Amino acid sequence: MIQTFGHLVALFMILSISAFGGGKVVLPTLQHQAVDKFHWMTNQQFVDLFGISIIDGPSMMVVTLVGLKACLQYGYVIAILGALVATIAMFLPSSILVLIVGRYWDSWKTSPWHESIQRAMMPISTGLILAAAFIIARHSIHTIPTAIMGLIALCLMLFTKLNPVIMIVAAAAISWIFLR
Amino acid sequence: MLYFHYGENSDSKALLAGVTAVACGLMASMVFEAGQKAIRGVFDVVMIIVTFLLVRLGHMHVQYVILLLAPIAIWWHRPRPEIKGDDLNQKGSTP
Repeated sequence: MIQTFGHLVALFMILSISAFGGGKVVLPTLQHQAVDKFHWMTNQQFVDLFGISIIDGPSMMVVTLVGLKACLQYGYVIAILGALVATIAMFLPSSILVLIVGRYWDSWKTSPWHESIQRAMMPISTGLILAAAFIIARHSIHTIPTAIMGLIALCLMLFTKLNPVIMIVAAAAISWIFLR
Repeated sequence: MLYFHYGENSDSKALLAGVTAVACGLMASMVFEAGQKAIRGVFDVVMIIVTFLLVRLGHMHVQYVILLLAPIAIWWHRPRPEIKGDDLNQKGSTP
């Protein structure tokens, strides 16, 4: 149990300070570690937990659910503690980093290096989000109906301002009716 | 907690199939939006592909990918002295 907590803290603290460009950039490493290295869950469970996390609240709440699942074998109380530990380990270091760096980053705004670093990090972040999207697609698009739903969600997100929660609820209802 | 209890249930599987499909669409839209802001040249496209390949095929950790590629990208996008119009004219006129 202590070892699992240690793994959770070490993993999420490192991921926390690596999350340049948003939390989603760490999803590929999180999936690799949680599924392939520590065997806390299967690929399908990881994608399901990501899906659950986007239903209500920020998608990076998947971290809380991964912590919960990692410690579930020790009982519900320890699982909740695991979820708490994972959440704190993920959000505390990056919050401290943002506080410290943010103070200097804004005062450095006039420097040409400010723009250079931002421009340099954007393609790397995009590549990491692409890798995350690939993982989610690989384990969520199994059939033609799910592919169509994913495509419709993509088009709605790109061309309308529809609230994603409405899409999620509608997709859940449609898939419950037709894919049971 | 409900998921861990009833996750294997056919109803919850069907529900989650739709939810994860939409999640995939949302992620894809994020890739498009991030790509629109990030891509300003061939180098940026190469960086996106290299990052993707290192993470997906190389199973490299995010922090190592950033440590490896960020210095290269920053060097590429480093501030360069602007060549003034007068300088260009002078250079053009010299034999």
